[in-house]
Amino acid sequence: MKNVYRYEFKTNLKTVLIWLICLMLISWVLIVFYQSAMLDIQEFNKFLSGYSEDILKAFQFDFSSLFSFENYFSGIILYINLCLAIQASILAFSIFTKELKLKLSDYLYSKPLTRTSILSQKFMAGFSLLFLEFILLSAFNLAVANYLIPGIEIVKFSFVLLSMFFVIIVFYSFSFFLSCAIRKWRTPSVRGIEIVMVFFVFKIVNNIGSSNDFTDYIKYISFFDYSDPRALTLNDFYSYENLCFIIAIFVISLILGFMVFRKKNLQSS
Amino acid sequence: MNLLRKELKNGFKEFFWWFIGYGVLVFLMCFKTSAIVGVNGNQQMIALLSSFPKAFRNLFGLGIVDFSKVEGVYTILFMYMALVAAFYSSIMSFNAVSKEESMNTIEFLYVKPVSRNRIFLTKIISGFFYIILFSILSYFVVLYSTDYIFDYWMEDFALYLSIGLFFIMGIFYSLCLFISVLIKNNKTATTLGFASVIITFIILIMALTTEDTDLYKWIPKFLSPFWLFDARGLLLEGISIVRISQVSSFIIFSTSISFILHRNRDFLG
Repeated sequence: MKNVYRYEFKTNLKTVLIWLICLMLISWVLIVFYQSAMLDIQEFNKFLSGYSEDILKAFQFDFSSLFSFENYFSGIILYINLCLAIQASILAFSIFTKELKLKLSDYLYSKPLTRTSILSQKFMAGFSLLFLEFILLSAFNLAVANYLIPGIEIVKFSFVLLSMFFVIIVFYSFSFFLSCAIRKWRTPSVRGIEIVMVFFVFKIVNNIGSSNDFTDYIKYISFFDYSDPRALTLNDFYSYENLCFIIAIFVISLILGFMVFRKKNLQSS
Repeated sequence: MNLLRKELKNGFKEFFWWFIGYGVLVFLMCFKTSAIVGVNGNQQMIALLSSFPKAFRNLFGLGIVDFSKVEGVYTILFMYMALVAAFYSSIMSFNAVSKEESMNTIEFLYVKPVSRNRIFLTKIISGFFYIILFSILSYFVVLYSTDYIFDYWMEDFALYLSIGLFFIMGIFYSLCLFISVLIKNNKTATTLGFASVIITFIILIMALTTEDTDLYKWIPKFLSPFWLFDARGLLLEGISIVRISQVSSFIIFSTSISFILHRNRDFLG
């Protein structure tokens, strides 16, 4: 049906599958580690029952779920999210700047297709690859966790896994916008890493220590924070504020990317 | 000499921005942890924290190091500082080889009346120059940020940290140099290099999580430079001469192998 779509899908499928297998291995190992620590956690829960409830309330934690599997995974998923973000931005840069780099722009854009349709087909190809990866990865995680860990809350765990999807769409659309907006990309994959690292650094800063008035604003800088599943320990779902940020980044960078690209002077040869 | 000057000039901009980012990271992290340090807290809280399940306790460094001291906080911060530095050094080593190829300037450079070995040597010298500069400046950043924020002067530990940082960066620099010379496709080489950084970082996390369980001996800890120069080891044992000599022999070995491979490499025109 759509040739550009099919072509991009096929060329990037292999890389995505390799990433997927690596991420599956990583998340499998992470789940196994929780399983190995489960005995300790049961002992700790026994130990806690010695404390009276008033003292426990003073700490302002919910100790019954502090070491639950969902909490553990929502902390450790940050590293899976880091990998996914790097992958999404490398994929976006390689899809949208490939023609410019290989000097094939005049070949592709002289075909009887509008620029918008070429770009949207490319966008959809990358997006569906990433979506496929998300679905497979979370199905794998759910299956493994369900098999290895007794008594997990499936609904809550799938909400935790949903943060991977948010990370994917945010970084994919943001890198899409950047690769459309900036005229010349010399080493796209390296730039992708650098962008992700900037956000990751702010995420780390936000994770560490206690917050005060000044550092409270840092959480608005990092894209990783909008999809932080640790918010789920307090609420039932991600906060609406953060969801709005995610959707806004997605929509704005999509619109701006298309607008800029339609007027862009593509360098040929 | 011309070549060296040019290489140093090219690398400076990247170095500058990465180092600014690194300094901001250190300062912000110190700033955020300043509320924890020096507060003895109530004894009940400490008793409860030290009875956390072992896996979690090791991951956060509770019990092993004293969190009310600045050194204790740095054992956690150093993990992330080293991660950023590792990404920087791997990007630098890809720039040494792959950038010329992807910018199509490699033919221009290699037809000059300078031998291949000499060009490669110059690139490596400029890379190591920036690595050394990075770790020396990092020493001063750690020293003065602790002095400014915590009002605390720690010369010895800051020196250990910067020596550890130098070796971590050196390992990743030589490893990624080897990868980018060995593998023909630049994109695959870049992805593989970054994957090596992330995977070794995850090995560190796993090693910290499972320190007291049976799984610990199955983890390939010695593959991870982050683990070899973990800040906790640096704090408790100091710098071990044996480890330094092992790591430096690895660095020299992999750099010399990449020399030989580079001499016989068929560049993509």
